[in-house]
Amino acid sequence: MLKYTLRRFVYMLITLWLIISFTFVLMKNLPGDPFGEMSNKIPKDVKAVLMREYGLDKPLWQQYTHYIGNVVQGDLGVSFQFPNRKVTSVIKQGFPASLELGIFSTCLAVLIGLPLGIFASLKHGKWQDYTAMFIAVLGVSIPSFVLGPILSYYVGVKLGWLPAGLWKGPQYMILPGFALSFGTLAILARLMRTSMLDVLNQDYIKTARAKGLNKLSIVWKHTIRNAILPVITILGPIFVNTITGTLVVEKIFSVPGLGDQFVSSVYSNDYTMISGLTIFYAVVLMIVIFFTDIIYGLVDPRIRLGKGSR
Amino acid sequence: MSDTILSVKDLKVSFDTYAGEVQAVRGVSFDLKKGEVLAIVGESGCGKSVTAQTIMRLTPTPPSRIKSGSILFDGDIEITKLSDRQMEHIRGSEMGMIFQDPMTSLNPTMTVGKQITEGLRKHQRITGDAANKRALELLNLVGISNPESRILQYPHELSGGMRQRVMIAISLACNPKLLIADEPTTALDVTIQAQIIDLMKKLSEQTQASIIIITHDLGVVAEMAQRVIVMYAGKVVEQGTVDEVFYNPQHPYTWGLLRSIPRLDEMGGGDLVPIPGTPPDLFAPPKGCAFAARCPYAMQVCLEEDPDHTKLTADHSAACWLLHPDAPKVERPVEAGGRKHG
Ligand SMILES: Nc1ncnc2c1ncn2[C@@H]1O[C@H](COP(=O)(O)OP(=O)(O)OP(=O)(O)O)[C@@H](O)[C@H]1O
Ligand SMILES: [Mg+2]
Repeated sequence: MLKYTLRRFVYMLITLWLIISFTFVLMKNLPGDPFGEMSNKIPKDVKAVLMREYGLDKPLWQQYTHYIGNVVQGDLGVSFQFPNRKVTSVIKQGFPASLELGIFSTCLAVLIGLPLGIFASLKHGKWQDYTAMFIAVLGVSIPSFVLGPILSYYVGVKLGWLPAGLWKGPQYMILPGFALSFGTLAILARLMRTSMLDVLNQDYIKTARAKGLNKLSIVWKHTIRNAILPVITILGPIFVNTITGTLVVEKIFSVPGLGDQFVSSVYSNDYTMISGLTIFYAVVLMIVIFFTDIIYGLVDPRIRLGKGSR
Repeated sequence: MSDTILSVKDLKVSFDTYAGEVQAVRGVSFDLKKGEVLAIVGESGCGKSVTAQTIMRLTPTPPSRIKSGSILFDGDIEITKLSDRQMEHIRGSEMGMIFQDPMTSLNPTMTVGKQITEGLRKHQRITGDAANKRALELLNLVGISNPESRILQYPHELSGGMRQRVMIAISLACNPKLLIADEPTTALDVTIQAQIIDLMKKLSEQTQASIIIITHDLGVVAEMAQRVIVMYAGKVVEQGTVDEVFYNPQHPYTWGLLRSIPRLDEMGGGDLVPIPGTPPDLFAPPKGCAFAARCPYAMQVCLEEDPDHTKLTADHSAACWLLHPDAPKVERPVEAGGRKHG
């Protein structure tokens, strides 16, 4: 297990390095320059000063090593857009709200999606199955920018049950959280259902039945435990996806999160901001995947005791 | 009567599929005596597994359905009439089953020990310690060395042969009266096959369990079984003691079967002759004898009416029109087959 964990860790570092380099290359090749529309109007010598200030006049490889060095020290640079703001401080300010919203909706998706999928699989081919899968199709096909306003308007404004926007406490999370999680919930429900049906068809379930175990222990001890494995592997990406996907929902419900920053930095060719946020999200993704891998290893003995430890 | 552990009468099982009704088992009858080993042979798809799994009510319902017939177990228990709940108490405690593929028959995320004790704890309500002790005993019994460390291992850490031994241990955990083994050696390689068969033979002598063994291997039949049932297209076409069926086969299908299956124990025992043609469609089984279309001796009557079983001795019977007093005598194309018993 230790070896497995270490190996995962090294993979994580390598992947991170690749991502940082990749964003660097990508940034250098994007059309347009960071001074935007103004670019042509800025006098040549002023521009040169600005270029020097941001280190854009140095040879590429120097820019690269400098960049990597800074990133390793946790310095993601200064925004082009707002020259007096560091990328890290923007993240510090916006990320907590995005993270809370992301965690909340991932939990919602897991806590509703998995039971829904399990339920559907146990009622395979019956009306309950079709109903559950109908909900799942809705979830996949209704984007959050449609569901968000509907919830905000009807539940928030018309019925007045929950706050229609802003970010001031737990109850403010419910509507945006649900709008954000519906699609994920649907994906999880479908995946869990498929996985359950697959496991229910396995020979070892027949063995369990031949032992005379009752339905509940067969489902609980033999089916869910095995069916959840493929779901765990995608939980990490799903979680990160949810955090990064908060953007639209943040706008609709006026949540002061990070998603908004990302978009505006793309519009204004804010190189440091884009690459900084990309790297930040990549790190989050890596860490989350790292932990899901570890959890997976704990749940699946074939990995825990497999090549890693012997 | 009291020495019969299982009595299957005119059992019919169908699967309701989108394409229609698959008549997998179409009237199977046989008795199994206490302590007896009965083999079921027949081509792929003839309903052996369905018959076996129906006895344990393991086929999923739906799509499967017991259309008619009775399965009388241990004197007076009518298996076909039990509720799911009642059946759970019999499965695993009174009846055990061993499946074909040991690689997929064990739960990959549960330790071997737990998989053995699970049934014990449910049926015998014993403590964890007592169950563990019994698990060690069972592993010893099935010939697994170092049981203390094995019970903590997961299936992927064991070889195929060992896994099948574990499956046998699981099935024997509660001392069942009936053990059903569905092709227990098919998925194993030859040397391991022999070991597993030896083990099963030893266990059948040691324990009082009656055994039904499904196999494609006539060597296994000769080695283990006292009686044999030949199935074709969901029916029993011939049954009798192993000697009777091997040395005096009466049904043309049995002749074909004996000539088509290799026997490792008989070097140069004649060329293999596959039975030409394929088994009938179980969606719409023929009106007459199901084998008529492939039978070189088929007569008009065979196409029109299904023959009843003709009793030849106390144990031996076959369902073939050739056994009718008015039928022409035909030369049997198989030399007395099968290996000498014992
Ligand atoms: N779940 C199912 N749905 C529909 N038909 C089925 C199902 N299970 C079995 N059958 C049909 O029942 C018939 C008998 O199958 P069975 O598995 O008993 O054959 P078998 O004699 O065990 O063959 P094999 O030697 O290949 O194991 C087959 O024709 C098969 O198509
Ligand atoms: Mg079979």
